[in-house]
Amino acid sequence: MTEEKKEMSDMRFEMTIPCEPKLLLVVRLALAAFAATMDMTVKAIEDIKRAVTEACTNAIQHAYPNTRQGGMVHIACWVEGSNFIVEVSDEGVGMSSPEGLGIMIMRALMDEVEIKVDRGTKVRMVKRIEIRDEE
Amino acid sequence: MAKNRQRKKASQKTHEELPAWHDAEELFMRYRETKDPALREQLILKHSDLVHSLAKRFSGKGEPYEDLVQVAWYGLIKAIDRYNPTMGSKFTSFAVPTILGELKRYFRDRSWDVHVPRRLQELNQKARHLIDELSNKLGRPPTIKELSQELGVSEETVIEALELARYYDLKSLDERANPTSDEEQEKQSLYESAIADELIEYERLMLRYEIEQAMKLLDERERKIVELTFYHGLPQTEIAKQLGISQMHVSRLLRRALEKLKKLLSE
Repeated sequence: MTEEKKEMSDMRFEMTIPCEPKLLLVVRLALAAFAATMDMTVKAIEDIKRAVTEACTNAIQHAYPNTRQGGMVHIACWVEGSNFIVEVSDEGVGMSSPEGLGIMIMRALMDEVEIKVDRGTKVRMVKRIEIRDEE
Repeated sequence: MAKNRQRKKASQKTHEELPAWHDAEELFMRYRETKDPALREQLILKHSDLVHSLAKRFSGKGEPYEDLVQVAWYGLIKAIDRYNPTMGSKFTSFAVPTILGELKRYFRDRSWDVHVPRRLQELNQKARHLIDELSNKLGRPPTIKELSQELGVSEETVIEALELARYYDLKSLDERANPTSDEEQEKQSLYESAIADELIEYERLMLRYEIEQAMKLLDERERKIVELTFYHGLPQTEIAKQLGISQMHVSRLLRRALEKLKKLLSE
């Protein structure tokens, strides 16, 4: 692992947004920019954006059914070795665990998907960073 | 005996059993009452054939079919949001003119050639071509860095172009009536775009549509397992019981089905 790469792998970013669909755009741009620093392919970045959109949408739609205003969704993302990890969590009480097509889409797009329901829901997703030869 | 019967049942068409395939009018009633976005999604997906058949009518007139479908989806969503089931008319007789209207407007406005941030749109088109080109050349999709080098713009700009140009594209449908200069448009904050969430939603719907299409390519048993797992949230042991196979087998079939879906989605 080169010095630069090692530094990269210590990078982590987190953001907490109110449950609002409009802000998904911000999340998507930030994730894309972060993934780009890992030199991931556009396809992998697209997959991550789509999967995270699904996870966030699930939180937005289901986590806080009893409040008009809605709560917050927390997104954290970092790299461990060759794994790009994204966690999307909420503190909602609603229909907590994602179901149906949403979860299937996440599973189809990412390499690992783990869902923990405790107080709120935490979706942990892993995308492998493909190692390739430098030209 | 019981096992056999279940097995037979499992191999029958399963879509009817899903909540996604209720009668449209009933769905509308429930959607009106609950405003549940999941119901809205089902309604939209349920009418995907309509979208495609109407879009087809306009194909071969110089606009890419893909774009026509997008416009038609847009019309469908509009129709769903405006339709009132208590007014007595059937949804399709309300939706068809709405979608056709949207498609006609698209053709009419297209000739005005008023583009929202054209620079970003052109860049998006270039980038998409380049992605295909480089994918062939490299045997894998390119990275943002590679795209930025080829296009001669910053990585940030590439990211923006890939993410945002699509949104502007549809946004322009609504704004062509009041064209403003490119410069003015450029000044507009990227995050202001109120239509962004609508379009992220659009993308999600497309993904759902793709998944539903991909599901059709699974074999009966794989599809059944995927449905029981994801739609009904059944544990593997329960699915195994229902299908009369071992849980290990269910797990293996599920993995295989997901691999297939993954592959289909990446095509």
